[in-house]
Amino acid sequence: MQRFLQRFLSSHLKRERDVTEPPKNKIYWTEGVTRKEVEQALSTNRYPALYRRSSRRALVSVYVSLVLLLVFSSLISQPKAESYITAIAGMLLLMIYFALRYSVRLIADAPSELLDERLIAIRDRTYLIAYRWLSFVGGIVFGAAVAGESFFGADSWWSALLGLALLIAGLPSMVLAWTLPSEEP
Amino acid sequence: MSRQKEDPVFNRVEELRLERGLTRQQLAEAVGVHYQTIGYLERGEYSPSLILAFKIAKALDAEIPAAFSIKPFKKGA
Repeated sequence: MQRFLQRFLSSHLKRERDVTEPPKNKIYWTEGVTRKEVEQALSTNRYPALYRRSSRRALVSVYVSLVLLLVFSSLISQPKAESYITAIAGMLLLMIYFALRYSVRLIADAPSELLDERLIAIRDRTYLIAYRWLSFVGGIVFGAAVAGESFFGADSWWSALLGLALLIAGLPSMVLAWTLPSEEP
Repeated sequence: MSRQKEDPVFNRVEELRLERGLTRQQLAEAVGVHYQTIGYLERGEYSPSLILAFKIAKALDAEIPAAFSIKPFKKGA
């Protein structure tokens, strides 16, 4: 009888826990992050060099250079060479994109409920600056599209499009990486 | 111009925290912010919201005027 009661209570309590406990990890689909990922990024000190302003700015510089390479690779007349450049630059860009996001501890992508008031203020200000830069870049792209057929009239302009898409995706993290000071231990 | 540059808020958070033997991490956990935020606050690089100021004062077992002021604190106060 005692064993039964113990078993009943333990299974009952387990079921209760299953219902009442919030899910341990939550996926934020629109932000493209998970709760665990953000919490870990905010607390880790695994790669201290990544959080230095000089490292972050180096990442931004390489990222912008690769985006420009992708955009202008659509002007290359040899399709094979263009494909190689697009593939290599695209892969490198993706790697740096993730490094860039982690260098700013995913603040640019994290939902408000996982950030404190200072980090929310930083994130929101970052989006304002990023939007202004985006308007500037958008103006240049529009001007280039109107002025030169050779820019968007190229046979395979999708590499330029990929470059621009990655620029838009990485812009908030880039702004944050450029403006944030080095972290103190 | 940011609020930070217009109206600095002076604080004795570091002094009070050390008196209570708390680390930045412990205080940050007690008030629900990132530990770097406590660092920014102690260096005067960030002015907290009213609710955060109340939380910090409570965690440090102090009154708000003892922890925060719009005028610089006198040394040894």
